[in-house]
Amino acid sequence: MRNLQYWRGVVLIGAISGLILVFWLSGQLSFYIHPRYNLFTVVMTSIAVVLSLMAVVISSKVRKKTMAPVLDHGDHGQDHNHDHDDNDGVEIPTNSLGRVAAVSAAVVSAIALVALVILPPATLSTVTVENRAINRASLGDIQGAFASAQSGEEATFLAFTVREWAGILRQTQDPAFYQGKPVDVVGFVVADRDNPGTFFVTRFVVSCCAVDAQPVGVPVYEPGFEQQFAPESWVRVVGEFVINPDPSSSHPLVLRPFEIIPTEQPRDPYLF
Amino acid sequence: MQPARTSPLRPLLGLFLGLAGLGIILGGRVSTGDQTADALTDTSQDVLTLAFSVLIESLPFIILGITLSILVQIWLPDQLLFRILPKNAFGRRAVISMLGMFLPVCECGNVPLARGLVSKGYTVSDSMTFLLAAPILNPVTIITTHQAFGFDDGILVARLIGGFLIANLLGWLFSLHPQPMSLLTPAFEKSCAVVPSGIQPTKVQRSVDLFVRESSVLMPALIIGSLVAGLIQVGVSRDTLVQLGSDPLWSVVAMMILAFVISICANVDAFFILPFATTFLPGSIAAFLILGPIIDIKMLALLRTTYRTGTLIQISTVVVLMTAAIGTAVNLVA
Repeated sequence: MRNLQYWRGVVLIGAISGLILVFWLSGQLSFYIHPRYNLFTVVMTSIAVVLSLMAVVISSKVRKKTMAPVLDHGDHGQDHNHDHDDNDGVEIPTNSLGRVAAVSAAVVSAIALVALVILPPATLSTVTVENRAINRASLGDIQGAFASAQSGEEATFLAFTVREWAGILRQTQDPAFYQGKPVDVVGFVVADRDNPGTFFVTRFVVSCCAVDAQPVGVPVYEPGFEQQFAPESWVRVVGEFVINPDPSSSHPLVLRPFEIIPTEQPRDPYLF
Repeated sequence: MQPARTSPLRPLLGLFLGLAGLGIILGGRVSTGDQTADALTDTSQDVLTLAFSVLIESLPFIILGITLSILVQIWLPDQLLFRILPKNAFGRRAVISMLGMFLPVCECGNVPLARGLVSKGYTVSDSMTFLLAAPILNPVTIITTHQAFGFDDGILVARLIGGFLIANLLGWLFSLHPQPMSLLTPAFEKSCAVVPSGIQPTKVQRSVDLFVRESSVLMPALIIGSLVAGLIQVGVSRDTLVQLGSDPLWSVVAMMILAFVISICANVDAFFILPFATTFLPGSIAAFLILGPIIDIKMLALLRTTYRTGTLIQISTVVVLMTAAIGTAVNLVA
């Protein structure tokens, strides 16, 4: 018990820090946190790996020689005879329930560690899209995107992601505004439950970490898309915004695709 | 006490075992590479992704907190942290609330730091004042909150004043307790009573030893707190919470629930909540930014390593009531 209690933390902190460094090297750290925190994360986890290795080299020796018995043999409850005769500062729970909890915590932590090792990092799925609703939150600098869209440069439009287009759609629903403005966006397919024949080409926008990921997307009108594209499959949609051919739809404008090309998940699946 | 007898090869064996263990774990990760996790349903996969996101976002701050705790406990002169404090109890707690300006750690990093302060001789109520105030009254949190909101709608000011008031109120309340050490868990109380023996290790050895002890206490709590936070986030509809955003009282309640559930650190939470600023009233944003650094799922798991359950219920009750009052007041004024 004492050894488990003493060593569990250093194993967890060393291993998880090492895994975080692997995620960083493989470019998968952005599945979990915004890249602005990469430097801080890499520096701190490197410190943890070094301290963990130092711990296995010198700590057991230190532990044996550093701590004397507690001077105060005061009232510590029913386990009076168990721990304080060799108290070395390791925090051992003082009752059987506490010990069960401590072992359970170690087991759950170990399972989480194994999951981090064997399960590949994954981005969020449509479960989270449904939990958070598409385009409900702020879409960032809408005014900036709208001002750029008014300039009329084709290269500007082609650089827009679904976030900029969703922002511009929120700004104006005038079909004339979108004429001659090519759309070329990448995202994953989320069926629009309210409007048959329409799907959202969707990305998650992350401002801090995956916890705050907000789905943003633009509606694409493509009846029968379900037969061609599986939910959550990544696609590149090239097209133009037009008046919705489906008058019963809740979207006045939709993206009419010239082509929809199945594609790989981008290296950075989230927009930052 | 027996003097330690260790073979000179033992440190090398330890290093070999440590590197081998790390190699196996990292090799396992690399070998599964880019495979997809088809074995899991989308729901369980998202629970894990969200839980690991909280874990990976928080862990560097925990490491920073443990490192600063080591500096405070082992490398700083004993009297330094006492010399700067006024004798008057209210003045002392007010100054302690500001220590975060020099120790810029978020709430999870502050748990090891506050534990270190108690070990160093701070009273329980003084260390609690530090623990509650420092995540908000620290330069990183102030800069990120200012980057996100500027001085709009009094959100930043409400956050700073609210954090200060709540920390000092709770510090004062718990200073009235007749047996303050009984607020701590027996295990932590006991570890504070450990005294060094005649054979003194070097400062480096003590630092590494403290790193092992603190990570042993905090890591399981952090992991379990992150897993629970991931589970609840998939279970509680964010959409429902957001729909409450325009009501002066319900928006505050909704944001407090959100802060409790998402469990991210104070140094980064302003960016988290920024996308909600257009749909929620300013007082509810302030409530999110005040409550989150003090009480959330992950933080309760971490605090439970140090404080008894009863103490945490008392802290939570006061913090929730104070935050709701401040948030509603800002909503009515702004």
